[in-house]
This record gives sequence, C-alpha cells and structure tokens, in this order.
Amino acid sequence: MSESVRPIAVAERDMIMQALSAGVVPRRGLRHIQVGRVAEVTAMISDIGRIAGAGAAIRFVIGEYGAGKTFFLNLVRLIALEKKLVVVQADLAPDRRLHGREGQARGLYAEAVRNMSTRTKPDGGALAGVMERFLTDARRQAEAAGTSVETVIDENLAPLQDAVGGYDYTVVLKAYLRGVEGGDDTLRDAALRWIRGEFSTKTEARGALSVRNIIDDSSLYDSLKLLAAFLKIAGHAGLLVIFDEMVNLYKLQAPQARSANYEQVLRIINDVIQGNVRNLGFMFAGTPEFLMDTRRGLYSYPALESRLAENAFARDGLIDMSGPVIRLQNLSPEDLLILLSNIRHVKAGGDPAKYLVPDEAFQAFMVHCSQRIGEAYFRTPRNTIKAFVDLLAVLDQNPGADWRRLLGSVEVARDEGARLDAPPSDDGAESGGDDLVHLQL
Amino acid sequence: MEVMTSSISSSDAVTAYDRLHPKVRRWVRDQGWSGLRPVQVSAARAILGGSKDVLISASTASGKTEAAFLPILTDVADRARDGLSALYVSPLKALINDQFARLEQLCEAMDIPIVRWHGDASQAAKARFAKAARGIALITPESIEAMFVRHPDRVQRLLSGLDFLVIDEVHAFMQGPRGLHLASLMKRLAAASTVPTRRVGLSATIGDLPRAAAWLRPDDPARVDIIDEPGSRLDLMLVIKGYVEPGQGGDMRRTAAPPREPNEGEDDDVIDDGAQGAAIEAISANLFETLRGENNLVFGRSRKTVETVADSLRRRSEQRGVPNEFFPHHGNLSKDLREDLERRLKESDWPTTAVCTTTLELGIDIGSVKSVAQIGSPRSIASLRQRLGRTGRREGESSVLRLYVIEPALDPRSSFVDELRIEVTRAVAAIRLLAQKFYEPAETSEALATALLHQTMSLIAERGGVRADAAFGLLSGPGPFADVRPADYVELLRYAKAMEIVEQAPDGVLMLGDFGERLVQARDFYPLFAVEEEWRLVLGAKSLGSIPLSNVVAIDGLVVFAGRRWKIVGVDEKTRVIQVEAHRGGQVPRFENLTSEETHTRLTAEMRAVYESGDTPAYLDAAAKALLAEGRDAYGRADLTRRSILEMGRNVLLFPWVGSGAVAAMCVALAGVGVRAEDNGVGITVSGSISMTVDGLKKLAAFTAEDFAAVENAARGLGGAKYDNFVPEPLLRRLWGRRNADVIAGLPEIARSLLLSA
Repeated sequence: MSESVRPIAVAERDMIMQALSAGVVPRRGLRHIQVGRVAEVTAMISDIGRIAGAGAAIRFVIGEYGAGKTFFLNLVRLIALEKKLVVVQADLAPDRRLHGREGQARGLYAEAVRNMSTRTKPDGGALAGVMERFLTDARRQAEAAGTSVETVIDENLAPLQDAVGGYDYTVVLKAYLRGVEGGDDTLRDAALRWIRGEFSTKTEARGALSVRNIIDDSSLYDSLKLLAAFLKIAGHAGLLVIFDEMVNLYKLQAPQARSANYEQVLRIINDVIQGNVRNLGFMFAGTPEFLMDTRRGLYSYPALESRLAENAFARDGLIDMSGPVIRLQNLSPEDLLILLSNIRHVKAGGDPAKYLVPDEAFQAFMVHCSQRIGEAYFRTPRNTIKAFVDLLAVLDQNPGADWRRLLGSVEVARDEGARLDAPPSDDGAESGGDDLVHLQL
Repeated sequence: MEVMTSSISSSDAVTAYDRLHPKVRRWVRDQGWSGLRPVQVSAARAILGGSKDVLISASTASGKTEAAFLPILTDVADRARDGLSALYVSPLKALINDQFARLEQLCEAMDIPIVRWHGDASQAAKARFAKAARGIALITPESIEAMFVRHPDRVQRLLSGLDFLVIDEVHAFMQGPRGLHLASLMKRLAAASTVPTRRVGLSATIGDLPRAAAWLRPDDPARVDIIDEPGSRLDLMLVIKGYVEPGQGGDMRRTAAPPREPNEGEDDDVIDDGAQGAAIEAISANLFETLRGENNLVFGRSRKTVETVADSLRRRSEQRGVPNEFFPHHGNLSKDLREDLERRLKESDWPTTAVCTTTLELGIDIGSVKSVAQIGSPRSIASLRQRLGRTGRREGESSVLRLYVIEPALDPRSSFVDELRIEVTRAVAAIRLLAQKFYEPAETSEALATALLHQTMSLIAERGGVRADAAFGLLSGPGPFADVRPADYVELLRYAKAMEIVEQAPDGVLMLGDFGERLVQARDFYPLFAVEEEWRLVLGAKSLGSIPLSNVVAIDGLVVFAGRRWKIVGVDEKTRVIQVEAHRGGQVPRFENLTSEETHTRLTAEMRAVYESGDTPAYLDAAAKALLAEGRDAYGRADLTRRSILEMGRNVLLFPWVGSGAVAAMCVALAGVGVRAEDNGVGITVSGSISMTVDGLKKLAAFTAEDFAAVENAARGLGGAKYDNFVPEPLLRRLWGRRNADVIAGLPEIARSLLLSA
C-alpha cells in the first residue's frame, strides 16, 4: 500500500513527520503509515457502516503497551469521520470514569464532548459547528415549508422526547435557538455549556436555562444516547464514542466503584447486542489486565466475562472478529520493516525518486537498534521510529551525508512509557532508590 | 493592661494586643480579661511578626489555645483564597468540642466558619462546611485519615491551601502509634499543599522542647520558634497512703501498663493494679470520706479498677442515702455518658468526682478540680504532671494529690520482691523526680511497620494506586519513617503482596489487593491503633458503652458497667448488642489491651536512692511509712547497696537498676544465651541456678556485633500493633533492634556491673 506513486501533500507530510518525531500518533494521514491490521480495520469499517445504518456497535480494543492502540483508535476515528460519523473521545483517568458520585462520570462526558470531532473539524471542538449546522438546516427547512424555525425544530426533535432526559434536552436546544436568534450570547453559551456537561449544579442550570436537570454522574450513558439521536437529527450519520485508558477502571481501589463502572459497561453491551440503541458505537481501549484480570478486570464481573469471552478457537494466528474484543498484537520485526519503509515514503512526499536511504538501510538500522535496546525496538517502537525520523531529517538537510556513518551515532532510548504512564513519582523518588523504581512484587 | 512577668515588657504586650484584629480585641475585652497573658503576647509576636513555625509550651490553663488562635484568626481574617485557612488537630474529640465552644463566638463575629470535624460531630454541619470550603476545622487525626481515604477530592479542595496547621497536645503526639500516624498525615498534607503551611504546636510544659520542635518540623527544626512559658512554681499538697492487701501470698505484682494512646477507647489496661478485695474497698472508703462535696479526679490504671471503684463509691452513697457524686469515665463508655460527666464537672453546681483512666488526663476543660487521686504508683512522671495540671488551677490554690498504693501482705512464702515494697518506693521516687522537674523523653513508637503499611494502603486509596518509589519518597526522609530503608519497604511490600493486601499492575503501580480492599473499607481502618471487637451495652434505647467481645455473656448474667450494676436481659449475637436492666449484683467485666508500662531508668535509679536514703517523707501516712521502712529493711538485709545478684530459692534475682526498656532487652539477651528471665517490676527474676545466671551474664559481657544481631533475632512477642500480623517478622525484629540499638549496645556494660558484685 505504501508503494503508490500518488504524491503526499507537503502539509500532511510535515504533520506526520513532526508527530512521529515527537513520539505521538499523527492526527491525520495515518493511512500512509499504517501497517498490517487488515482484518481489524475491516471489522471496524463494518462496525462504522452498521452505526451509520441505524445500528450500533461495541468493540474492546485490547493490547499491551506499545501495541499501537492509540494509533489504531485514531485510524478508526479518521475512517469514522470520513463516513460522516461524529466522534467523541476521551481518556479515562482517576477523575474521569463511567460511573462516579463526585463528578467523575460527568467529567468523562464533558471531556469527550469537548473533543468532539467531525469531518470538517477533525481536531476536536466541533460542537459549536454541529449546532450551527443544525440551526442552518432548520432555517432552510422552515423557509421551504413556510413555517417558523421553532416549529421545524419542535417537529425534528419530537423523537427525542421519548428518551430518558429527552425533554430537558429539547428545552436546552430550543434555548440555544432563542439565544442565537435573539442575539443573547449568554443564553446560547449556557445551552452549549449544558450540552457539554459543564453545569455542576441543578440550581445553576435552572437559573440559566429553566431546565430541571443537568447532565450529571448518573446520566453519562443516557446523555450519549441522546447526543447520538440528536446528531442523527442534525444530519450526521451517527456517533462513535472512543474511551481510551480503560485500565483506569481496573485501577480503582474500591471494589464497589469497579463494579459500578463495569455495570455501566454491561448496560452498554446489552443495549448494543439487543439492538436497543441506534446510530451509536463504542470503542473501549485498554491493556489486557483491564479485560482479563479475574479479580479486578472486566472478567471479574461474571455477566461481562460471559459476554466478552473470546472465541477459544481463535488463537495461534487464527482470528475471529465477530466477538466484541479486538486484540492488537505488538508489532513484529517484519511489521517494523514495512513501517520504516512507509515513513521513508512519506518523507519523500510519495516520490520513490526522493528516497533518502536505500532498502538495505532498514535492516542495518534495525540491527543497530536491536543491539542497543534488544527486542523493545520493535515491541514498543515509539523511540525506534523517532530515531529513524531524526536520521532522515539529518540526511535530508545534509545532502552529502552517508547514512552508514550516521547510523553508528543514532541514539535510541528504551521506552519506559508503560512506567512513565503511571502517576509520576514527583515526591522525591530519588530517596526511594532504584530498587523501588523497578520493584516487581 | 497588666503584664504578669518581667520577661515581657508592658509595651510589648500593648503592641501585641494592638496588632490583633479589632474583632479579636473586642472579644478579648468581652471576656473580661485584664490583658493578654505573657504566653499570648509572645505567641502573637511570633505568629504575626514572622513566617516561621511556632511551638508554644506552657502549663495547662495558661491560655495556650487562645495564644495560638487570636493571632491566627487575625492573620487569616482577610484571606481571599479558597480552601480552609487553618486546621486544628487534637487527640480528643472532647477537646475539640471544648475548643469549638471557646472559639465559636469569636469566629462567628469574624465571619470565619468553624466546624467540629470528628467521628461524632454532625454530618450535616461537616457537609455544609465542606461545601463552603473556607474557615477553620477542628479535627482528629483519624478524621484526616478518613478524608484522605474516602474523599481525596476534599483534601485537594479544602486542605491544599492551609495557612496554618495547629497541633494541640504535641507532647501526647510525640509518642505512640497515633503520633506516628499524625506525623505521616502531616507529611501527606504538606505533599498535597500548594502553599507553605506554618505549623503551630501547643504543648504542656515538657522537658525536651528541641525534640518537640523536630517533631513539628522534622526536615527543618530550626524553622520553629519556641515559646517557653514555664508554669508557676508547683505548689503541691500531697499524701501517699499505703494499703495492704491481705492473704494474697505469692507475687501479685505484675509489670503493668502505661498510659498509651490518649484517646477515647484507647486508654490503657492492666492485668491488675491490686484492684481487688479488701484494699480497694478500704481505698474506696477513704475516697468516699475525703472527696465528697468537691470536684475531683480519681485515676485508676485500668478500666477494671475504674469500674470497681466507681461501683463501690456508688454503693456507699446509696447505703448512706446520699446523692451519688462518683462516676466512671473511660474509653468504653458511650459518648453520651462521658459527655454528661464532662459537662457535670465543668458546669454544674453539684459536686462531682470522675473516676477515670487516661481519658481525662489531657487538657479538656473541665474546670479546675479540687484534688487528684491516683490508685497505684506512678510510672510516668510526665503523665503524673499532666494529671496534677487538672488541679490547683485557680489563683492561690494548691494542687492536691493523693496517691494510694497497695502492697501484698507478707507471709513466709512471700517473694523477696514483695518484701521490697516497690509500689510505695516507686511512689516516693516519682514524687522526688517531680520535684526535680524531670520528664521522660518521648519514646519512639513500636508501631513503625504497622504505620508504614497503613499509610501505604491509605496512599493507594487516596491516589487510586501509587508507585512504590513515589510512596516511599513521600513517606520516608526526616519524620516518622526516617528509620525505614528502601530494602525494608521492599520487604514490607512483598509480604503485603503475599497477604493479598497489595497487588501490582503490570506498569508497576501498587494497588489494593483483595484483603487490602477489605481492610480499607472497614470502618476501623482510620485509627492506627487497634480497635477491639466489642459488645455494645444497651439500656432500653440508650447506649451505655461497650465491653470487649471476649467477655462471656449470657442471659441473667450480671455486669458492672458505668459505675452501676446490671442484669443481662437480652443478647443479640449478630449485632453484638447486650440489653441490660438495673440489678443489685454484678461483676466487673474484663477489658483488654495488656501492654507493659515503661518506666524510665531515672525512676528505677531514684527508687534505689529512696531505699538508700534514711529520710522518711512527711507526706507518707502511717501505713505508707511502715511499708517504706519494710522495704528499706529488706533492701538493707539483702545488702543491695553492694550486691546486685541474689539467690532466692530456685530463682536468682538481678538488680541492674535500669528502666523497663533495658530490663526487657536484658531478658531477651539472656533468653538468647539460654537463661529464662523476666521483669519483676524492679529488676529481673531468673528461673535457674546462680552459676547458670553468672555464665549467662559473662556471655553477655563479652557480646560482639554478631551476638547483638542474635538479640534482635531472639526478640519475640513484638507485633502488638494493629497490622503487625501482616508485617514480616524479621522486619519487625530489625526495626525493634534499630529502635533499641542504644539499649542493646549497653547490655554488656550492665552485665559487667552485675558481675562485679557477684
């Protein structure tokens, strides 16, 4: 797939290279560097089709650190946007989870909606645009039908009324309309804040919008369902909800809190499986312990274990994408080879004539990295890729330079990311000594 | 404006007063005070004039609390930042209620919210306060712990911007598990804080102020301004009364228990302090005759003694047909009963005597009592001084102290230790040390490992998982866990993993294991001291208090509790409730928590001085005088001036004249060389022959570094702290060895000096 001669736009190329050099997943242009995962991507494309076609979908994307979960999620996100879905996305954290009593669930909802993206606004913050479009469409319909915008909106929103919390939702949407029509920015902003889950007390919301309820901890899932229904009405194909770092649920220290969160997961799974929701899909991503740990992972919740148990025949390279769990394997050396070649291709703007290194350089580079950090170079390839991108950058800016000579001086750091992702030891870890930093009980 | 001492000029006092907030000044005037007291002037200068920590040491009832709060309220009056401005930590709920009552009005006038934040305080008030998120909270260490574990968000919101952290009764927190606990919580508060918080310590007059300063600010004791207002001269009226318990035979003496944690539900307990039979009846009779008509405190060393004496006094009142004015007060009594008594002491016109354990030792304001009595000789001088501080607080009044000591009747089978009359001798020695202004230095707590495990669990709960290096980095360093090394922590964690207290995520983060979760969820997680499982005694719908679960209870069983007699009419095993009704008969229940009370080497040495002096203090009654003479006679007959090893039948007695800590270490070391030895209250009793003993001592005298390690390994019966069952024993022994390093290193010298006399 990388050998197409289709040129790659300079802006896109620079964005990809910058992101890789910084060790992060590019937000765009992923198809240029994607390696393998054909079955997984195909499964997700079919999920997306189902969401757009008034169905629902749920996937658990499970992979070790370095397996490329974030890359995969971003790829799916971009495909979903292409298919006119709206995507909301958030990482779970100790104060952002599916269930909570002190604003944690509302916090997750608010974070996800803040990160709302659409095809025209792929980098987040798309809610305002979505609302504008909803209004513009309504105006157009009103004009065509010769009725008032308000009437059109009332008619359009009628289906929402039946849903839990639907009445308040329509009240807020109409408040938004009044705010815009009447030039009342305060009212408009209050409506947007309400939809973003930013009101923390009912009193405050009643004062600003005359609604009795707010999006709170108890209404995370219902609010996402309403959002999906509203987005469908507003002319989008549906809503894809991506929650990453689900391992934070596994890390909850109170069994009741874990159960309460897993109960929400179960509710969502049941709704999706039984066809109770439409135009809505979920992707939950986490490390294997989040799924498999029978004491504190999803498997600790019996009803979830039976629903998520993987096909016993699908192993040793055999796959079955019909279950809700997608397992991402870490990259193999062969995968990395292709990845490096893709990066070379992107760097050259898609023009093989401009390749900065010959094919033999890949093998040499990988041998070099392997000597430095062992098999981590392909298992957790972030730093390997970063080093390769830096090598290409030097070759690019110093046309006479020989890649063989430079290779010896390439530094590649071991990826401590799995540890660094954990809460940092900011309280004077040095006194703890190395024993404690690398302690494995 | 009057100023009472010469150390502070009247202009200082005027300036200090003028710097206080106008509303604070008005409050001072409304109190009818003639001016600020010297300690208040000094404290105002230190708090308003500087940015350092402040340690205020002054005698009881010298206005310490106000000394701290008047300038603190002045300082925070205009605070605009969110979050609490000050946190006041006290060991006792009752003390908090008391301070609250004193500060409430002033805070209201200054529009500074103030709340009582402890287990028994109003939930609604706390919730209101937490929502407003400003002002001052009066809190116990356990409630801070609860906030960390259950509401870490509140810690962030309420406690991350503290201007002041006030620690009351610092001297009480400098020892024991609760002190460790609070010190650890202080570290964690500092870690959670976004601003520098000044610490203000309040302490009774204690010997070692630099140590208290180091406790208050372990990483920088020099940052602590020390304000030391020595109390006025102790004007003491004293009597030691001796009693003989007949027909005991044998050695009735035990090493008995010290005041441990000064907390409700936590006062110490002893196997017995002679609280039985005829002697205790005679003492009760004397108490009844002498104390009626005034407010007094009677201290017993155990809850059992307290119940026995209170019951006896009540019966006497009934027999005479006079209103009972004697009531028990200890940690097992229900809050209502305790508070009723505190109120009665403080406010009512009816004369009241509380028979209590350490629960009334600390500074709850119960007004001044006429006299203090104590049953059993004092073992801690610091604690004795605390108790004395409850009396003689009014101008021109003396402190009145009655010490009741019980010695066993002697018969031919009596042990030599009984003949030494150590109770009366110790009482005299304690009074002599009191006069010399001696205080025991604070002991480091043996609950180190328990505290570390507890705080690790708490940190995990607070942060939703924590890395081992981060946890250790936060907790270690100068402060409560300074003695713990990384390798110790690794050992602790590995064991905790095996016990399913912690587990580890693949990324290294520590999390609570199955059992750890249950420990943390349990209601008794917050206190670092062990909470016993108990029966709750209920009369009708009213809770009287609780007794340990180990008491056998049955319908129609009789029990003495809260100074009264009850018949058990119902037992609910499931809810552990015992229904009682009043009855004529009764039996004092067992209360547990048997710990040995430390005596300092100075006290033991002073006992020897008492034996050797010919002086008979005038404060002994005739019986006590006779007992002291008997003791001296036994001492002289055995020639203990020169001899320190006595052969007595099948036993050998050793007299090293050192404190109980060194005696315990000696016993461990002797056990290590095959000699069975135990503390007999004044020295060591060896079960064995003299030649065997001397051999053992010779080995001790030649101890090498390896042998010291063996002493450490021979240490048994450590592990009395709450979670010590979940701590690897080698670690407990190592920490014990480190804590007692000096004592252990001194053993060969003790052995050599014992051998000299052999």
